Amino acid sequence: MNKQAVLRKRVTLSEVISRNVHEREPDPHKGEGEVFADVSSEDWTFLMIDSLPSGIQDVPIAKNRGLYQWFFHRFLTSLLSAATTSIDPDVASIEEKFAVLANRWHDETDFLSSPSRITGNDTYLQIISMGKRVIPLILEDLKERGGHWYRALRILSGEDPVPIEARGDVEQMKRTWLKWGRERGYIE
Amino acid sequence: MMRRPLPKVAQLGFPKLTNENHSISSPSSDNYNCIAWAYEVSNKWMWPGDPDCYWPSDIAGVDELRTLLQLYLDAGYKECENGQREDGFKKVAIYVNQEGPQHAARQLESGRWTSKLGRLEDIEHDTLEALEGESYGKAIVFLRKRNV
Repeated sequence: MNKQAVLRKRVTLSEVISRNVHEREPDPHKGEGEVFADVSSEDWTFLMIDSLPSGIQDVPIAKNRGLYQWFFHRFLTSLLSAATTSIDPDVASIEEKFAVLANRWHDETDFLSSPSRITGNDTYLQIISMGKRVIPLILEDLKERGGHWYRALRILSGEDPVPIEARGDVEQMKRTWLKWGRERGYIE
Repeated sequence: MMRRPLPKVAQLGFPKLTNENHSISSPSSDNYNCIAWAYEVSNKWMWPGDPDCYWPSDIAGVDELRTLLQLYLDAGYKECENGQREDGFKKVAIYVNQEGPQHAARQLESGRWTSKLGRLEDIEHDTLEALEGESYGKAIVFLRKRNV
């Protein structure tokens, strides 16, 4: 099964596709943006976007109108991740499986503050269960989006390069883990 | 300045949040969480007993809510009855659900509340009820401190 088939199959589920979203607002990071998504039916009636986030180009979307905005990325990945509730590990690549689970985890926990709820989340535990091979993917996600990947990195690597005095200093923790990843050849 | 609400998708976890009862007050950030923000700190992720979070070493305890409460008590807050605005006082409210404490909000002089939503944005919300629901539970612990 190729990637496109995996995604196409799953975006038609109805569990999260039950509302319309029509937003227009300025994005401080990417300038003015506009999104129009109408997914009130079980199929995507239309989604318009100019530039798609990397990794999800296979989603059936009309690209001719509309501007990309960060929350649309969240919305889109939320649909994809929530809809992709079961991925067959035999047919999905590690990267695909990780991308879906990571998106789902972000959507499920980004609004939370309690670390035990953020990292005790089932999706997070599923990611850890994928083993050391996801360390580079976690580090890339940490670099790109941030998030509380530190527990997963500690468990998977058996190491903790963050000094005690840096606990809770997210910027420093992130820098330290990325440096660790580069030194061990997990990322460039 | 125009009031800007959270995108609809980010409001999904908060059934009582509407475009009319809140507005974004700062960009999203990983650098601090609600507990720190209510404590007026914006460069630490604070939570007791977690190896990836900052917590003052002299505040320890088994009970998570009690330990969180102690943070604010040590900063001069005292427990109070409710979140109603009182002249001369600033207030903090702690939200709790069946899993324990989930969120803290700080009252502004206007009587509105400021909240950091996990690693998402800070928002100002008209009432404490606006963030109540399954995600955060209810605001049930209130503290106040005299404005200096």
